[in-house]
Amino acid sequence: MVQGQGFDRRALLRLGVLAGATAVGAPLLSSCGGDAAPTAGQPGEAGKPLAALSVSAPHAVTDSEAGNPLATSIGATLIVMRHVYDSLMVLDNGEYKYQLAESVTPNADASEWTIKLRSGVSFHDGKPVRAADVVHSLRTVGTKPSNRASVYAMVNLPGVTAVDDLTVKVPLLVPRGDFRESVLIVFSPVFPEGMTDFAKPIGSGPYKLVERNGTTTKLVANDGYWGGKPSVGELRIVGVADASARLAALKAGQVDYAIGISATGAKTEATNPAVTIIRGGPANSNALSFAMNQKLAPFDDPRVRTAVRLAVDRKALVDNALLGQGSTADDVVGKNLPGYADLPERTRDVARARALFAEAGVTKLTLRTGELVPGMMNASKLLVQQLEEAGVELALEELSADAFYADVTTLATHPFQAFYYVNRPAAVHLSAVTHGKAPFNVTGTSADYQARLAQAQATPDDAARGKAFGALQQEFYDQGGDVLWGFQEQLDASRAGVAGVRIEQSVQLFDRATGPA
Amino acid sequence: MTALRFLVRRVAATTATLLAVAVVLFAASEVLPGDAATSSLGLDATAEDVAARRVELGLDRPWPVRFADWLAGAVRLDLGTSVMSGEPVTRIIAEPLGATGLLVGVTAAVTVPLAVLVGLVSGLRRGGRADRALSAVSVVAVSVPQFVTAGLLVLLLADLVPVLPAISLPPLGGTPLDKPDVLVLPVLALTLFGAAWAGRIVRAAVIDADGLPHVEAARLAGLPERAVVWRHLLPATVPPCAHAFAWLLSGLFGGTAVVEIVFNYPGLSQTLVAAVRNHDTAVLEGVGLLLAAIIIVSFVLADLLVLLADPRLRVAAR
Repeated sequence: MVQGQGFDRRALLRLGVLAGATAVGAPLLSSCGGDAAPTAGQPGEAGKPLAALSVSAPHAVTDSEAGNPLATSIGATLIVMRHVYDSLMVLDNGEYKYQLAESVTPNADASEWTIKLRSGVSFHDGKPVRAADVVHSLRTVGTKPSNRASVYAMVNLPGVTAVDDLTVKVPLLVPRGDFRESVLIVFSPVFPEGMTDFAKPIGSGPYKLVERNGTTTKLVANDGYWGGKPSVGELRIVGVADASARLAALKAGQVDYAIGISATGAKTEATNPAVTIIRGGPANSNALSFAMNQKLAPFDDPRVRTAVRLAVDRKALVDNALLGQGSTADDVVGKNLPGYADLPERTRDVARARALFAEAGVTKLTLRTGELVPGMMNASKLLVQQLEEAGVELALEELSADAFYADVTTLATHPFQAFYYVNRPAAVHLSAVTHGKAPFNVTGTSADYQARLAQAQATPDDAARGKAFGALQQEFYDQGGDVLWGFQEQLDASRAGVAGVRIEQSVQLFDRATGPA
Repeated sequence: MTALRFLVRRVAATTATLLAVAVVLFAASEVLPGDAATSSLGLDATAEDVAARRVELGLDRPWPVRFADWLAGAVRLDLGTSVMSGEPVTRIIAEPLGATGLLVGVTAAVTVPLAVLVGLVSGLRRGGRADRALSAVSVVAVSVPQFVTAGLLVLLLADLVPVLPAISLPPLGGTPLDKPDVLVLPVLALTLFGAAWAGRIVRAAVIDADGLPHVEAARLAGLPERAVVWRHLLPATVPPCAHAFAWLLSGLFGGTAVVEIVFNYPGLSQTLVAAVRNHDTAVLEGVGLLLAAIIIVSFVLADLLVLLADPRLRVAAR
């Protein structure tokens, strides 16, 4: 979704965190880091409720019909999901929050969790949300053919039971203190018990799905929503594959909000008074990296990893390759999101990089790269110049994006590659991408790192776990294999005067949007 | 008897062609890097997930075996299901086929008469001012890449002078026909290229036909020019033009990807491109065979048209 990039499988890579729509719940875990979610328009602007709002959102022709929680893909499908279904927990305003859950608590060793549900919530068909619905929902989204089944790999699904109408017990296969952030926050939509066919989706969210075709989904406000009456009466989500077409539709007045426009588009329209550009900030971004595999020469030498980090001019990369529509990163995923260790900003030191390269005897490197996201090839070409200044000749091995990801063997065994991640909370990222079995673990983390990761995941106490994950981030910062140089921010555009749109993990929430006063 | 033999031979040739297309598509999908297991799983999938998915999709078997399996289904008109969405191929293809059919139909209805008119005017007044102007416009229209033409049309008619929609959104519960203005820009983009390209071929055919003895004879016999053109010259242009239009029609069905993307038109080309990217072999075979069938039928129709237009062939066929 970011930069309008992403079809098909690569789009699936973006499925970092997704959950339900709005939340009014109490904050969970201490808010380590986490800026407020960006909001379109001026804060505090006096807008008025909108009768209708149309949105152009990324879409791939292979996407299932929007509203099917078993096959969420990109843009349009995600946005419809988050407006129709409530989730047990969500990331909202930069914090982990309860939505349908009222509390989620572990037993002593975090091998079993108890979910207490909010009472008095109803589905769109008027029936109450009960524990049995949650049991059915978790089992359904946790089992294939759900494309998010892997999120539930740690859950003993047959053992999930309804204790009473508002209490669910969730046994895990291994003790996990991070169950809430690694599972419920990532994906926990709730739909009625027995619902297996999603042709007519029913949730308890702020919008009801009334009609759809191959490209357009029409939602109407659920006026009795427990979280408050939505401010937009009718929401139309239009799937548009191409970023320029999404912007063109906005400029032609066919939609009021365009999700995922190109950096060029954002620059061009910056001075257009009829259009407002909304930047997602690091919290809604792709994290772009040059990944070094620590298990392979020459990157098994920590001096070489440090040298590359110091040789890179992050600001120049962001300014040129991302046309300035992004921000610099400091080698660790998770900035501006809960649990980030607030690591110091990296600065360039060419002299020291040159000395380290010379010490380690490195004069030539090869980077496997491709246009994985818009700007990645330009960044790679700029890296050639930057490393040259540090005395290293860099060769580029360019591939198409499809070929780049398709060759899983080379991905795992190439020492130096361009790569991108979804910027998601550090604990979720580290758990998903840096463990030993992840095929896309391109930085080659060591066995003892993985033992520390498993220990951190199992820690039941929130503060202790936060500390353990903080230490892992520090380790990545000091020793890890990612030269994470920039955040390619989500870029949206709206008709002037549209305000109150929240962006959470690159998913837009329109239930509190307003129009010009 | 001869006609029956002709028909049998044609059906056999068509079947052989479709089979060859099916084999080539299947093999091509195999040669591309990666497979459906990796393309349908995400970044967080483990090596075990990929291996399990491969078994689930039957990708652990050699491709000729999988092809034979698919073929056995295909002859029973079961084209299989998509590895991405799990939906039957026929259902995946139905909506884009309808949308593309409509787009191609409207485009052809505008393009063919326009191309004939352009070709006729240029060919009959070759070297004249009209010919030179039309030739210049045609060369530009054919040479400019389609995404530029389409982009310029959006800029002109949807942005600067906002009279038409920038993207083609069929109304909910309806078809593009219920809101015909969504068809205008895509049809215009396709027609500019199609009419210019086909117009050049009609022009050449008109020039060739103009020198034919029977046309010359008709003129010398004192027939009015209009009768010469309609009764003698135009029929002589049918054989070369019929095949050009058959090409155009096939090209429109399979080659509208750029226009579909710029205008977000929900047609077949996008489905085809996505199927290739995702190693979605069943969908690829479905769309590929459909397009091959359309090409074959277009050319059979062109042959029939030629047969009707050329008395010598009619006699020979008997």
